[in-house]
Amino acid sequence: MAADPPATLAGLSSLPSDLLLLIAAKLDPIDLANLAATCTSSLRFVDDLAWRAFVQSRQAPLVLDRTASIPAPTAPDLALQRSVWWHRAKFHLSLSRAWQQKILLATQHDLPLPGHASRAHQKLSSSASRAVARPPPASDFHKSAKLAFAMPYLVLGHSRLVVAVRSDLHLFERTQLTSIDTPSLQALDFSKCHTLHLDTHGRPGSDHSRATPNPWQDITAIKKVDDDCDELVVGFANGTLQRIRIVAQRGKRNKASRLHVIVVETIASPRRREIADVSSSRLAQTDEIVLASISKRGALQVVTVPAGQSTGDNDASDMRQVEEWQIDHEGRPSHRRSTDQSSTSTSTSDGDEGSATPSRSFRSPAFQNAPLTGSTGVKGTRAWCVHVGGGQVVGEQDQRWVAVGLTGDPALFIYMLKRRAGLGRTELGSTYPLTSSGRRTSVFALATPPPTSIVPPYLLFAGFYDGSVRVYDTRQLYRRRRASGSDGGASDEATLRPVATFSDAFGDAAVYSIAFGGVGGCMLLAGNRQHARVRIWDLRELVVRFEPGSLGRPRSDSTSQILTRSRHRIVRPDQDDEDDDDGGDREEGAGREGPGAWFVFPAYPSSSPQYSIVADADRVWGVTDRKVWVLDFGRPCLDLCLAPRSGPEVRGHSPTSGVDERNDQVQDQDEGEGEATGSHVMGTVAYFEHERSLFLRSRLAF
Amino acid sequence: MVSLTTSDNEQFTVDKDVAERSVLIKQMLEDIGDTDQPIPLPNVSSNVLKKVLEYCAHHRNDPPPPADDAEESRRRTTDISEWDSKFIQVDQEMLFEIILAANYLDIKPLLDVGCKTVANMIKGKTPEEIRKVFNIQNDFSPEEEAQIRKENEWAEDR
Repeated sequence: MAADPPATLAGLSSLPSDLLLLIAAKLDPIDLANLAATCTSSLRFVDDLAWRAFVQSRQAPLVLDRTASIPAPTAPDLALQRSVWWHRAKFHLSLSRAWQQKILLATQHDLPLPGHASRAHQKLSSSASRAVARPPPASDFHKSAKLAFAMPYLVLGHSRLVVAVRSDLHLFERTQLTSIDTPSLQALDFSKCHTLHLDTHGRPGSDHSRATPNPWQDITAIKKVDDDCDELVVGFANGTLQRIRIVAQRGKRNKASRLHVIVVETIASPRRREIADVSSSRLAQTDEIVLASISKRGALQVVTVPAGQSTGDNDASDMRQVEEWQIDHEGRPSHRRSTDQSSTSTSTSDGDEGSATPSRSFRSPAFQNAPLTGSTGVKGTRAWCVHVGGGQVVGEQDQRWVAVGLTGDPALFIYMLKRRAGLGRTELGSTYPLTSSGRRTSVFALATPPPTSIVPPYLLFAGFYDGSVRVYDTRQLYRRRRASGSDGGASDEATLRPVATFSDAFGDAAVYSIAFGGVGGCMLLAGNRQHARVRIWDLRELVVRFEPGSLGRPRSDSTSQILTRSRHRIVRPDQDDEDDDDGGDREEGAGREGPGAWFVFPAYPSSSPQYSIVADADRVWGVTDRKVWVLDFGRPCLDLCLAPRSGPEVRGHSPTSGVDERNDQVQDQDEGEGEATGSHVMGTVAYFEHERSLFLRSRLAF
Repeated sequence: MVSLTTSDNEQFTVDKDVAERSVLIKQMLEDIGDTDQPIPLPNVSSNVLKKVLEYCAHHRNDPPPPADDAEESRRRTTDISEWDSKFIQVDQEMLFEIILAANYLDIKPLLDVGCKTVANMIKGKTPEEIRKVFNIQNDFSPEEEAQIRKENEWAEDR
């Protein structure tokens, strides 16, 4: 080293910043913070480049990013200005801590009722007085809620959060959800959302004047097609499948743009049969979309929309192709029909005005769709859920599969989707049932991690009747196929064993919904059948066992196989069997009440299931029979970022001390029992921590 | 055998498989074919190249590194093998020179070892200790330093 270093960074500064970034990538946040504290030039490097790389590379992006709204730091009386990236890194880091220490703000919001609901909510929003804003008496509420009951669903995308109930979509736009100025109480104000009415006759609109909506027009399944949530696939109680697009249209008189729905295509059902679930998968390379729907009685539809048609106009249906199979209760598919052209787009729906509109009751189709118990003793298929996955290119061709969850033994079947060359027709390939468990059970929910998650997308998570979430490595499908193909014999009639099972001592209630939340999507959230409970597991333990490149089984230390480039490899059958033998043992141990498992439940008494859950890195939205509730882990972190509580002497002249007041306000609401409004801040929630076997209350702030 | 010429005009002759640990040299050889002409390496001095070639010779039989090691480099593991850690015990100036040379010659494993070594010199140290290690002069005012210390509190204990 030179004797008198004029440069403050001396040796380190002799490296170009791209090499410094390589070094910084190997440092922990605390080391970066310490490095920044050495001198001004390292502070600039860390603040402007290292934190930026940290936020961009290590943290999965937020679906709805509130950190973008963190104002550029303006602290005239502070000596040093920190970069926006420093603030965002701080948010991300506090977020991990918030998940770990259960620091969150919980709110709950009444779902709107048909008819008088919208009026009541308008009153709520305009009125500052709590007395005026009292909801209808509880008895009335219960009555109308019962009569109007339909399973609610949530969809989350970059553009919006969609709450679907009955035939209505309630849309909360990104600007509403990412504004950091919105008080938490109004985060989900149903009087301020856009409400769109869907109709299987292709007459959607925002005018929904009917006081008692037709239950056959109920939405019984909804998923997003694109990441933005602009395009959705919707299943209805009468069996209709629709692909719709939400578009903004500038209002004529109002400056605010209005949202409306375009029905891209309608696939009517020849018979009235309730859609139990839908799924959508887009292949990034070709932009081809595969939609799947399953009816309660096991009619599986696979719709292939070729590339380029995804954004087409009304004639998009010319190119799409519908295949249908009937799945029996043992998972055997039989081909029913295939349609290439738009011949089905003429409505054959019989479930409407023509026949007597059924009165909505607990026996209404919407209610029957609510999963009851595992074994009903009824002959025939009872299907619950469907999921299209794959889309990772294996070998030379795209391999996709469709998984169906039903009641039976086994209860989950996975079929390869094959494309017949020439005709471009989709065929249902061989079945991959799961290992039989010896008794009938049900699979109610299926999910694969989103691409932004650190959890590999080839892991299929299935929510079971017994309260467990089992994880299957779908790459084994390809491997087994190749293995059996090369041997010529299908001696090992491919059954899949779970690579991990998540369950807990209190978790015998069925899993109705699955989502991935937390930083890097590493938290598994499972909505329970009872008490609106959500169980949460930390998946990072699972992820480290799936190092990139390792194949198939979670690796144990002795048998780790890190493959270099090839993503698929044929494993010799004997090797395979060996794997299977000890696979069971590992299944027992994996994820069982491991660290990081806890469950949370809303503070109000509810016996409702969590019908649907969606999650972001910083928030979780769940929906029960009557309420949408939000677990906001990001809010305390934002407060931390906005009002740097850097000790009392700095706090005194902090320019953003107003945030502290907001916090106090929240506390007030909590104590004052804000039940009068449709939205209700619970503040904290109760949770159970398995490690300590304790019921605790979450905290509100750091 | 391959001849290499350093910035200070010294010539090294090494086995081809040793030289080809460097992706840069490998590609050069592929481009120009077999040649007796020495390959000029104007960005590397002889004492650094000697060290680099020592590394290449020891690792001549290693399997090729995974092509997409973006994940690898992002991971924060800072384990270094025994031979490598002995090899990299050099003064700081040489360490930075090796990193620069490894980057220029495109020897990913060596670059990784170098970066890990520097990272290990920073890890777990206080700002004052880091300053000492790298001979950094503190140019913060006392107020600035107090602010940073406060602001760093949130990053601790995790």
